[in-house]
Amino acid sequence: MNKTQSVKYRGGLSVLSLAIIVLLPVVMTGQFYFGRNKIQYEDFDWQVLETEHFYLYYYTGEEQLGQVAAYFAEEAFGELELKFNCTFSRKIPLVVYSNHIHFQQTNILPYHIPEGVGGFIEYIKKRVVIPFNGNMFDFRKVIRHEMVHAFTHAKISYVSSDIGMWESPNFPLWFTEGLADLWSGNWDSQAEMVIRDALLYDHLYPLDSEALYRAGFLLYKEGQSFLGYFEETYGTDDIRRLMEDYWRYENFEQTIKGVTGKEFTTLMLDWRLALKKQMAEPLQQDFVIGNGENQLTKTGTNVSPALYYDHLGNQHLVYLSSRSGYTDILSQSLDVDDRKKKTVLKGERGAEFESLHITQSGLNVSRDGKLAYVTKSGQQDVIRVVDLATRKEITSFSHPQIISIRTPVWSHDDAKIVFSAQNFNGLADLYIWTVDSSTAIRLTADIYCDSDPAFSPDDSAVVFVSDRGREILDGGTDLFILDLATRQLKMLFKDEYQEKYPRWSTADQQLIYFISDRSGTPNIWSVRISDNEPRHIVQLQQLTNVHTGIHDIVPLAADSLLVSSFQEYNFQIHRLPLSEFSVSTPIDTTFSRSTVKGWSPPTIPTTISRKKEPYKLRYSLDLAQTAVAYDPIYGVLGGAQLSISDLLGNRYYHFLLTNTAQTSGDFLGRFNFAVTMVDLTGRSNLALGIFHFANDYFDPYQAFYFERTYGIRGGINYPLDVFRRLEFSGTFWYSYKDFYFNNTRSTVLLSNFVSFIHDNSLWYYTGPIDGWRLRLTIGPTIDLKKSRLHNLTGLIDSRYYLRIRQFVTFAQRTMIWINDGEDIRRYYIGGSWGIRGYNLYDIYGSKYMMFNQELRFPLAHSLMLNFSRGGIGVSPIRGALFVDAGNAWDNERPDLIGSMGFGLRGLFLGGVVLRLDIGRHTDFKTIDRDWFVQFFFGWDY
Amino acid sequence: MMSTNKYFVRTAGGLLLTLLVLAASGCVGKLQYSIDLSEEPVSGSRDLTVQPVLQWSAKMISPPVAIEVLNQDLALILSYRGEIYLWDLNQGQRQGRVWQPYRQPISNHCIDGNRLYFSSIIDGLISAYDFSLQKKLWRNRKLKAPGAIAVIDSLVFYQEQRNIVAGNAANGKFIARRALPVDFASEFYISGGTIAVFSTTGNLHRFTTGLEPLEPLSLDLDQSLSAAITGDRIAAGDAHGRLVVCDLAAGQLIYATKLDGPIYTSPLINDELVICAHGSGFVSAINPESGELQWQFQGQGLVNQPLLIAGNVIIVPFARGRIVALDRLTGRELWHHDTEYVIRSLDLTSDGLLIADRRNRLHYLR
Repeated sequence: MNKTQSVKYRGGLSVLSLAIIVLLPVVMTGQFYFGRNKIQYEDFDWQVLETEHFYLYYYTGEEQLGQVAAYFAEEAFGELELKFNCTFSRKIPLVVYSNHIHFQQTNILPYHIPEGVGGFIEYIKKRVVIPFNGNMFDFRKVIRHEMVHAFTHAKISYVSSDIGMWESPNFPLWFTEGLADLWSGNWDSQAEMVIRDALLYDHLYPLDSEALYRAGFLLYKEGQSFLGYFEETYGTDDIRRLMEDYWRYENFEQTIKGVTGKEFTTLMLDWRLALKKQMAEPLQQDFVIGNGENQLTKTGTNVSPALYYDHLGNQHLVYLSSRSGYTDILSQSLDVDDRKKKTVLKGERGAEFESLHITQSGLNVSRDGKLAYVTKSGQQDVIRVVDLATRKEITSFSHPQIISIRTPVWSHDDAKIVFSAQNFNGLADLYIWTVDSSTAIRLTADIYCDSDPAFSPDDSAVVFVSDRGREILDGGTDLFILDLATRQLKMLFKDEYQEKYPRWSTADQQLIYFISDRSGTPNIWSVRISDNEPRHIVQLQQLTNVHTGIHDIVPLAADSLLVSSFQEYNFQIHRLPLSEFSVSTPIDTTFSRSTVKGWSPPTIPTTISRKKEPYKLRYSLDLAQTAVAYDPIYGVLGGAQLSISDLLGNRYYHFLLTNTAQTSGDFLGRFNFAVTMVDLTGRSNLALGIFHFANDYFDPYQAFYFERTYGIRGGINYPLDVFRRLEFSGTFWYSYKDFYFNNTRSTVLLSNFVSFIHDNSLWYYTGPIDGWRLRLTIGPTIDLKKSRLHNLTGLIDSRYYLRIRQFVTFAQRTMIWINDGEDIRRYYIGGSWGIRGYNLYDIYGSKYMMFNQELRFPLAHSLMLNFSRGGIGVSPIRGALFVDAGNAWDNERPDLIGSMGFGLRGLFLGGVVLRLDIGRHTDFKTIDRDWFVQFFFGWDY
Repeated sequence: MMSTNKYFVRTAGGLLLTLLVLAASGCVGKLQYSIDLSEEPVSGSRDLTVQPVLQWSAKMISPPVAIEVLNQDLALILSYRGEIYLWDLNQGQRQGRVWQPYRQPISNHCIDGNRLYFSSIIDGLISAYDFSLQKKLWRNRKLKAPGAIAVIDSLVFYQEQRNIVAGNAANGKFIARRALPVDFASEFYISGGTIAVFSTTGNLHRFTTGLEPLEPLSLDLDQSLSAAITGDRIAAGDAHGRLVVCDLAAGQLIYATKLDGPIYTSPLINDELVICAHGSGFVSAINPESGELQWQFQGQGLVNQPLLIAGNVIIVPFARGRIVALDRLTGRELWHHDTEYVIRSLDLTSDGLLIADRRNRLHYLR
């Protein structure tokens, strides 16, 4: 094919591809060629509560939560209106889910929502979507966080619209997220832990650095810390002025200078210096947890340590680890000479172990070696019990009303498991499961958040953490003991701090270890319980003063603990001999038990709450665009696309309208239109559409021709689980073709396609590094007029990624496409994404096979050009060794051709992958002497 | 010879066409509408005890930066997009052409008699226009961030960075300059022969019309402040809720207090009362001599546009869209009017209220 033809071909394709773009989403919404599935497990009965500033969307079962959310939202609105000196009269849609698993089913975002997302605001329809995690203080904070985003967006857009700017400037992410954190809550011990760690291990990145944008949570905390410093130095009003006066300056850095009189870089240095001064004093006193024989893990996030004794009595550590990129359960001996890690369970690769909720779920091992852990499986969490000796699952527990499960802990008789869980309504309470049975007893049932339970040494009571002892929602939590026989609840002590993770000492039955942020960061304390003393006096003792903080604990012996501690922006497990700490003197803490009464769930006053009604489908605009293009062959091409959907994103209508008439007589007959309805409400995604197209086309097999088609099209996507799905689509249409030489053809066709897709791949910056992806498709088209097969399409696309080391992967791709019959398509397989070293159009045919092998490995951290006002470059840089083979044909299959060589991949500006391949061609008999160099963009296959 | 004529005709034709296009696009330097404001009151003072009725609502061409009621028939609108035009209050429509002397927002303006003085902080320009003569009187270019403008007799004063510059109001010619040690935080306030301005350090700096400095008043206000002057008395409030009342002529602090919540709009001084909106919907009337709280009204939400007074009625514009009329002496609500959208600004006419909302609509209540 020569160049002119290829241009024409693409020109002809442009109109068709516009149609395909509209038609194909029929069944592809939220799903793509590969990709994980979003599954609608629940059929929510949505209700709407209208308040002064919000439309609150909640479903049956979370009525109380809806009331509380409305209260928090109105409360935040009133406060933020004053802080921003800005208001808006349009009501904000606030969608509330009672737990994160329900939240992940929302169709407001089309793609899979990761577990780390605690809520979001969508800016087209200004929808705020929030899950409840069982804790009202967190819920309030997330609502406020998203409301700060809503106000920031409104404030900036108002100014832009006033000035007549075409679009609002993009404020840096550290600013918007930092401000949202700053104005939604106080600086807490978690933030302190992250910033201390960043300073200690020297990864407090400059705010304008690219590295910060890849650092995730650190970006939020650095932004919050900087803006906190800014607010303290210059005042709240100057933060507001940054959003009011930006239009006067060229960029954000100039705005900062204009408002403060200081260069942004100078201000950043001042902030770092202030942080260092602030940290200097505690650092002198604190213990810095670091490398050494007591550090048991080094790579990835490692949490939830548990002890396991094998049949020889050897001690093993079992824990959750992300060292592979997925979350797995690993074990290793506590013997210093044998630190080899063994995989107990590979998580997050299949439907049964969809997620292990790494930093939240916890695991526990019974005395007789049974591991209890939590995994998300389908629409809910399940407790699974595995015999560590045989690695076989013994039993499991789930209940239709229990959605999220956290921290299962065995009783000392190995018969029961106590855990905290969120039910369908969102309430976080305690439950006990007798492992031999299929039922669980609910220990608490109220709005308070009860978590981190553990049995007493005689199994007669449970110690746990709750916010039930606070008069107001201040984020603090206290320790409680529940007597299982009498159901009497006793508060251990009361203070203003956050306590968590209580565990009875193995050596002293009157001693409970717990984590408290009394000292500024989470550290280990102990409380001595004694019935001889007056109950309102307890003895507290600080046991550790780790500079960063501790996440969870397991008492190991009288004088040592296993802990996971924050270190170099990850959690690592350590054996912690308490003798290494200068243990503080026990202090008596007095509190008045008479003041212990819980807060009441706030509800919105009826003066603000206006009306409740069932959710009704009301459509509003998502996308409207028009395009006009001129093509030397096809003349003026123009069209419009429109997409509307309901507020919950469950129903979509896509409209397409174009006209390709060249003369006034053609005008009516050359209208192209397509209307497609997509329904994402249920587990199966359904779509139905009608279309009419009348265009001139070029096809390499049929040259120029005019074709008119009209018909109906439908499709169903059925997700088997998060990783696998079936796709069905069918099109029934009439086709009329005019080949311009008194040669016409009209026919009625029926196409059916069936596909199976699997994808559990794990991605790194430049492409997948683990897992496998598969797409199998077969699709016959039948000519109903002639009652025969019109054409047949089949494809196999398999991509397997074998992890050799943590960042070294062998990737193998096999692609076989076959298109046979009439009206077939031609494929092109040269180029950087096909057989490397060839041009895209060098290898083509209606059938092809292609085999790509690639070894992917890390090469360099970055290649940067540093300027006085920041740097630009590629980071990270990865290497590749590759061998490609394949060919394409129409009739007879030719011999294989291919290429081999090496390549470089680099992430540019944090989002674009640059690809450079250097190699030689081969026909697998000889190898060319000439080297080729090929440069392109895009992720690895 | 022939070709020269042809060339001339084409050039002239081109120029004429350009002028026609410029005229059609409103780029000629006038409003094309003559007004004489020398005898007419700028705004009315009819007692709005009885709720006014909506006369008309109309869409403006772009977001307004200021709306000034000029007389009973006309309002002047200055926009963020640098446009200036007149609005017919009786017909509810634009009167005459849109004049766009600047391409950037008109950041400050001042009306004195028939003259309009206006500046653009980005363009670095300050200009004077005469309504009755329908012509631009002068324009000073290349100024560094020109700020607020004030006119006393034949002198025009404007801020330029940290300087107060005095010029001839008739031709804009430079007369004198006085530097402030810090940045300006407010517009000018004038009483008799004294000109005053707040600085970012929260102090009130006073000058004579000859730009001789008078003793400054140390007030410790935040730089986000709003102030208003009535007679000799100036009242200011800041984003931290601090409220002060000063005697400008005497250079004395009369009253200072801290109210709940930020003050985003200038307090109103009327007779013996200072009336101030603060926090989330509070309006307080205080006697600054005694410090006594005369009355307090609790409304809903933010007030960030100035309170107005029409006879014995205080008009409070709540940003969320409600305008509330209060009895000046008791603080009792007399009536309220709800707009559908956030209020951007409002002004009194001789017998009603002109309201602009965030959807760029003007509403006239009479």
